[in-house]
Amino acid sequence: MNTEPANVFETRFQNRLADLISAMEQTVQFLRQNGVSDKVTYAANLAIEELTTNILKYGYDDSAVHEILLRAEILTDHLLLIIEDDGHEFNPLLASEPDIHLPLEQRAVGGLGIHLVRKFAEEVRYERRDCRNRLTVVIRY
Amino acid sequence: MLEITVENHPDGRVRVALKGRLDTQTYAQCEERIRPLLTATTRVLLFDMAGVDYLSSMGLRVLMKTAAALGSHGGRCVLARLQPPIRKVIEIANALPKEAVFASVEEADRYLDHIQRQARQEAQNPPKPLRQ
Repeated sequence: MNTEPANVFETRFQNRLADLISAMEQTVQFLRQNGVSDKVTYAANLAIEELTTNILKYGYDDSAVHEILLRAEILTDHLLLIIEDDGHEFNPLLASEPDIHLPLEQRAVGGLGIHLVRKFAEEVRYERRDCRNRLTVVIRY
Repeated sequence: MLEITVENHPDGRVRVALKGRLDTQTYAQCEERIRPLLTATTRVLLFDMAGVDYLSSMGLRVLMKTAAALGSHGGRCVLARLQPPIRKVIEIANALPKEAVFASVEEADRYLDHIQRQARQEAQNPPKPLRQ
């Protein structure tokens, strides 16, 4: 029995790129079907892509299969995204901001994604709880 | 999904029209298609972005690497017809200078014609050295 209210979407996927992309597509479809604006959907899509690909790249010390939880809640004045994984403690918000004023050929590869998420979202929080990483993203309408 | 159309124009100008999403899923396909164009023969590569409705950091990297690779041969990379969120991503990342972003393909062409004319004139009449 599904007891979730209609404005919540939750999915669990394995730490493989194909599964990540399919989970992202399902979430975006859910947002569109529930009348979330293009602007907010864009920001959500960006947050999901940047944060979950980061987990796939840097979150694990083994090659085992892990599960990632992705949840979207459409609330009165904002959209809430929650991403949870069981990888090692990893706070992407501690990554240093990229220097966007360096010439292109001297730019560092990392950090750009997180920088974009911070600019598109109202708030991004990180918590380590019960051996899990939890990222919470608030996107205002 | 991403559709890529490449058109070669005279004077070493190449127009690459993108349609769809430029992200984690499609960046490799885009890079592969562009790699052969990153030679000294390409003076200007124009990305027509009108059909792009999603751009993430992986997509941004393709644009930035293209600009850096062309720059190393003295060429340039310009963007035209960005949808508002795409423009925001480009601006936040400072991916390309403002002078390299155009509202229309015609506007980009006019600017590039001007640059090319100037380069030709300078080649014909090199500026006089300043008197010591």
